[in-house]
Amino acid sequence: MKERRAGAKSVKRLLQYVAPWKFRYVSGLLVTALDPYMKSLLVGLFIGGMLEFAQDGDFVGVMREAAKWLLLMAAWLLAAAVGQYAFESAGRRAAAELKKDLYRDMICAPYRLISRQHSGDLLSRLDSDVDSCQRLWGELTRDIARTVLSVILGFITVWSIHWLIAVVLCGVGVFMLVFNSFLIRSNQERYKELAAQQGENIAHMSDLLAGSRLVRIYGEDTGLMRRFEDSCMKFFHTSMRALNVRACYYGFNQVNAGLTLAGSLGLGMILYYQGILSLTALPLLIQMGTMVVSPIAELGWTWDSWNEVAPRIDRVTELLDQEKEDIGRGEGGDVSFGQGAAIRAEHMSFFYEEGKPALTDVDLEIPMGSTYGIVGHSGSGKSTLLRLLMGMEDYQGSLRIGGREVRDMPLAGLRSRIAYVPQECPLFDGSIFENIQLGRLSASREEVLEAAAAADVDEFVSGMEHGYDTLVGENGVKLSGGQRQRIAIARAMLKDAPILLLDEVTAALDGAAEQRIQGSLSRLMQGRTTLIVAHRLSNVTDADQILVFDGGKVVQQGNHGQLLESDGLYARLYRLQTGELG
Amino acid sequence: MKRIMKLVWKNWYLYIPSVLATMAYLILDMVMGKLTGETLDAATQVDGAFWNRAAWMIAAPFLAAPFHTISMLTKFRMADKVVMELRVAVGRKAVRLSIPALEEQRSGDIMAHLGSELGTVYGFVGYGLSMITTLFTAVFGTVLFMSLIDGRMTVLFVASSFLVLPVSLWISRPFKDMEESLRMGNGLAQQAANEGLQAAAVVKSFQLEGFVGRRFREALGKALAVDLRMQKTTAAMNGTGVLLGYLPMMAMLAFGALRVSEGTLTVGMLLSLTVVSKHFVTWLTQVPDVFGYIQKCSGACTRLFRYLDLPEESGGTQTEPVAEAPFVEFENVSFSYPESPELIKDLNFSVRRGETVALVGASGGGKSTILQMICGFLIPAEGQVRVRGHGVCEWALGPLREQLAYVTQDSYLFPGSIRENLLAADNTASMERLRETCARAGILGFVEERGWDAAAGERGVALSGGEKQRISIARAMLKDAPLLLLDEPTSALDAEAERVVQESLEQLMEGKTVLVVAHRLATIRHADRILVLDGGRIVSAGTHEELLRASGLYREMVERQLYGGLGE
Repeated sequence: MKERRAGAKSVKRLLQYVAPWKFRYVSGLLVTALDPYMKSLLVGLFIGGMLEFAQDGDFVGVMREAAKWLLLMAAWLLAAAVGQYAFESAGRRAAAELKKDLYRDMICAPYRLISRQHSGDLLSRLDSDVDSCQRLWGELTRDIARTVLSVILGFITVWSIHWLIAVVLCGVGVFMLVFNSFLIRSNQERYKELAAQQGENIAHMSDLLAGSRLVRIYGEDTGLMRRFEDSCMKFFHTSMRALNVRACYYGFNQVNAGLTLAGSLGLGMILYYQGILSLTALPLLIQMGTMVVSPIAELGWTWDSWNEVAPRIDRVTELLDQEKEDIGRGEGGDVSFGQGAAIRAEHMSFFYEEGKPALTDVDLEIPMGSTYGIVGHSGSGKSTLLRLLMGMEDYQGSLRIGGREVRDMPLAGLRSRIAYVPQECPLFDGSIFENIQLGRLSASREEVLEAAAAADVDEFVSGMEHGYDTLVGENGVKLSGGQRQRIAIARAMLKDAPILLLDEVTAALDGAAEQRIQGSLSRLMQGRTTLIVAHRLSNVTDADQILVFDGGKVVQQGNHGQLLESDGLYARLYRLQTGELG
Repeated sequence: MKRIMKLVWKNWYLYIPSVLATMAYLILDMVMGKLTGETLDAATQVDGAFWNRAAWMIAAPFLAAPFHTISMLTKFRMADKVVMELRVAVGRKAVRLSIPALEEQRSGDIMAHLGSELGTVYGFVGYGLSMITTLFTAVFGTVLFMSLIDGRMTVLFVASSFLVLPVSLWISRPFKDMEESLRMGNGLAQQAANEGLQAAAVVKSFQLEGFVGRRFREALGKALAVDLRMQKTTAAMNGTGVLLGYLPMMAMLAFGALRVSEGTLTVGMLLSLTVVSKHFVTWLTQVPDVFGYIQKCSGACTRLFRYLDLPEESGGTQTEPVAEAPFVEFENVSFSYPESPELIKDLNFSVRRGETVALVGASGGGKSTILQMICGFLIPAEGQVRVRGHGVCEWALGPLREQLAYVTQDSYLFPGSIRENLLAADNTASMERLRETCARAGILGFVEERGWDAAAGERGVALSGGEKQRISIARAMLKDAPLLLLDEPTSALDAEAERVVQESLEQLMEGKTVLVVAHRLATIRHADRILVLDGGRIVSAGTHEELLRASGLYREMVERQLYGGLGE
């Protein structure tokens, strides 16, 4: 079964995160695990002591006894509070460390792994799945320790009162365990089903919302509404079936409570009646009876929550084990190919998955300092080429920059020589200044401002109240698409790399905004080897050469005029875009 | 809240037994407590009542077992029923809500109605309501049983309990501030993590791994600090709370021991008092929980019913079209979305039977709004929109929509099979008719290749945009409504797909009255009339050729398209 995959190895690995706080964790665990037993013991002894002295009519004894137990109780509660904090804080610190490591591993994974995973899924591993790991060394461990300590110590205590009671209680506990786990197991499937049906119901609701107009146009008895109502009914019936079992379980638990009472207090009374036990034993038996029995019975629940936690633990360790990017691979730390390096590919292919080529047998040569346009349908492999140049994916064949094979180059060195401007510029929470500085973290304020000025960022920042210290990102001002792109250009200016990759830089902008960033773009391109990936052909008409991609291959090459004349895919695309074909 | 109670009360035949069963097992438990002491006393006196008392004491919990089962069965059956009724209502509302109200809703909020809010209601009807019953029964029952044993001890116990109650309530209050700032802290950390992941390509190329990691660690550190502070407070308060909880019982025991030594109370009675009083303490400390439940549920209900009370679409009474009337008529129509300038001003035009009329104009100029007004989704602020002779508001909703078929840019296929999607238009259509329609729409080939039961919609990723659009065109064909509204049916497609879809569209348009909104020249060139919309009015009208000659604005638009490119 899948959910039992989490092996001892994963658990051991995760428990290492608690290691730095070993002492407080273990001592805290011990105290919290002892807590229920100690409380029951103290209360039982308190009541017993009071009854005993009362029966003897010893007035001073009563008061002394009361004071003694009150003090003991207060002392224990203090210890328990300290223990609880020690235990909880260790667990939470460990979870925080785990999150930090996990996130580092996520970010340092090769790009292809990050991009193939849903960010929502990754984030939920970072959040709710780590919380599950925290449950592993928190609640789960505590509950198991509690069960063990309570049962053993409770058994010893009861045994010291009378062996017969201890044996009977143990029998009741085991009987309950068997019966409960049977009931729980029979419902487990149903709860899983219920969770799945709830998900389904919500999915149907989302369909209903998306198709709201459709349902109106085609009438309410269309499939969509019926599917939703059916799923509601299904959910209801499953829920009812689960309820029947649960109700039986409740009734049965009460029967168990009866058995426990008969075994502890009932038997104790009889033994007292026979003169075998003293009066003090009775309150202690009331407290200890459930102490021995119910933890055994609850083992079933603990097993249940382990089943819930286990697959989530796997999801976390899976990420910890995932491949990391080797930033310093290859020989020689630094990469230098002078201003404007040449790019050359020979028989280069790239596969997203086995048998699904994104680029096949590409040959191309881009001389130093030139500007190349790359066009083609979406999915023809244009952006893939850019990612290959940045060392983000593995390719077959040969791809060289400045004469050196990309796959052998140290990634840090390679990436420091390439500036990349994507379709949408990601902004981080922080000021505009900080966001530009990301282009080169070591840049001085003057350098940043210079790059900003060259990218025409000045133009809109000067109108802002806080200038370059204006906050952007989720909690700051909203910038328009054009403004964001100018920040991206400023970043690339600051980086000042010999190779420049522009990936649909203006695709998300309207005509006017595109016009406005054109000046800063051409300033950025000066003196660099530039690749422009574009959907709109108008963006590449000025390029030295244009590569036309189709189905992962370069099908045409030439400048705008040549390509128009040759009447191939380029000319057809051009006519389509200008409407002449319609 | 009141309305939830109304729904609960509809199931009174479940509610009443649940209350009675809950009371029954609580009382049996107290009887057991009283019997404990009596048994003990019987053991010290030599009068034979011992076995009888002991037997009843042990029997009490067994007798309570069926009541536990009944209470559980009834209260949760009730919860399930109430929730299921609300669940269906939430779904129905989504397709009956007036369109402006629908657009204001965030879909996440509506999902929350189904998920967390109904979960809260379920918890309240299942647990919360019975907690109230339990609370009253336990508190009053305990006092009653204790005073049956000994009046003075009861007074002492209740009085001391109420002395410590405010303190323990104060201690166990939730730390709203800290919880809030913890939630915010965690949210910020998640946000920082997300930023890094979303920007993965830029992070890699600018080598910002360290920067992003540091931001996450900082955000996480802040959240951890708050969490630890909260844990410290919780631990301290827990201990104090427990101690306070024990105090009244200890006081009672000490005083009781005194009275036993005086001889005014038996040891057994004292033991009974301790056992019975446990209920009082347990339930008193749960008062805040009960209030919490009520508060949480009333919050959820407010949100839920705010949604369920949103205005629905309302129709009139007309069900038959007027024979000779124009198909669509706009008379002095004005419209604006809330808090935005007037979008459509004093608009007049009509579409006669059999005509194909195209609407062109800048994006955001209100073209789709016009189609939505014809569907009755949006209601004009002024003027009249008439469909086949009756104002849209005078039509009954069903018959109005039978008059029209509506194909939009991103036609929605729901995630059922292709067959189900087609049948949405006409449940009764035979297989033969389906096949015939698909052939006309030019999709029979790929539909049969993929299978009629292949999944369409979101998870049916195997269908391309063009294929999906053609299925939705076939669906509209199947409906065979006389009036056809097309809202940029090809603008989401690439040029090659557009051409194929265009062919299906032409089949669909045959013999229908058509109002089409379009950007693409290909779609509008052959219309009988083209209406040019600018600033919320029709500025010129005519055929393609006429407009090219007469309208500067139209010419400009056509030219822009020629040089604009695929993005338009």
